[in-house]
Amino acid sequence: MNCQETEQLILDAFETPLSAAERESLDEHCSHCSACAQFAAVQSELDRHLRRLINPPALNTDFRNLLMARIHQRPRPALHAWSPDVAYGIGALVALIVSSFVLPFKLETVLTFGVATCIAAYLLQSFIFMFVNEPYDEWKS
Amino acid sequence: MLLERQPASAFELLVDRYQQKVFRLAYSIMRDSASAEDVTQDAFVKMWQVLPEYDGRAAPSTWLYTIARNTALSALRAGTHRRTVSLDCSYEVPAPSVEMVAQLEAEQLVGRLPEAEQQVVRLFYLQERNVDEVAQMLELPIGTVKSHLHRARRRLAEWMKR
Repeated sequence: MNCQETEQLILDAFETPLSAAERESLDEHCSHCSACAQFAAVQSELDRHLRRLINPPALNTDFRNLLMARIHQRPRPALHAWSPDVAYGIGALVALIVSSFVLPFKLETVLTFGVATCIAAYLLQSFIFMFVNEPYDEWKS
Repeated sequence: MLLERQPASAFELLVDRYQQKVFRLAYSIMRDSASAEDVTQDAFVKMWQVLPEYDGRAAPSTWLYTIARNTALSALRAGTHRRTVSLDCSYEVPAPSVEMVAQLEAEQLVGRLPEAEQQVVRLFYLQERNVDEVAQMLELPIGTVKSHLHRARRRLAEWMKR
């Protein structure tokens, strides 16, 4: 391992833990290369300073309550989650009524096939919707 | 899916899960905890308002971080939240220790870094040294975050030696 690779490894070590083999070759190189040993010492010192310097500040304990108070003053989202379902139902009903007048079949036949088709289409689109959204369904966990 | 079905519950879940992270992201930009808190509130309120437009294509956290980042940058540009340092020294200032001087120097050195490197360094330490999280928050590839960090470390080490 040359000096450039060693320096890279030293910098990587602050982000992800090194493997035993990497640690061993790093120690081995630094034991006979004073420049790299010095680089590692300076970087460790710098990391210590930065850790002390940049501390996560504490969020106000009342933050959530204040936020929710603001939220509740705002209008709710215009569309409810069930809005698409209602729209689908209304559309299906209109289509059934129109079909029963327009199609040259008995009313029972049109209604039976129409209702069955609507239910099948609804289930299919729900299944597709679930499948498409699954990767981002991080809310449930 | 819960976001579409029960937006209020999903939103509360989102607040609980991400309030600290969004606050730290805002803090890394604003450098002031009061301003960062205002930005965090504004970001969540904006998210609540645009909730009906959520189409599930992007992860909610990505969406939230983008809103938070843009809100913070707009606040900085508008000058509504200024990075200020109090000059009120009415209390007795203790004699600085060697450690305090070193910390002060480190702060000044970080402040001299290019803006992009500075933000990555601050966010890296604010997010408990998690490169993946920083990359997601800033919408940068992990490799870019690492190279910013490495360049910043080399620069800082060089300046410290002087």
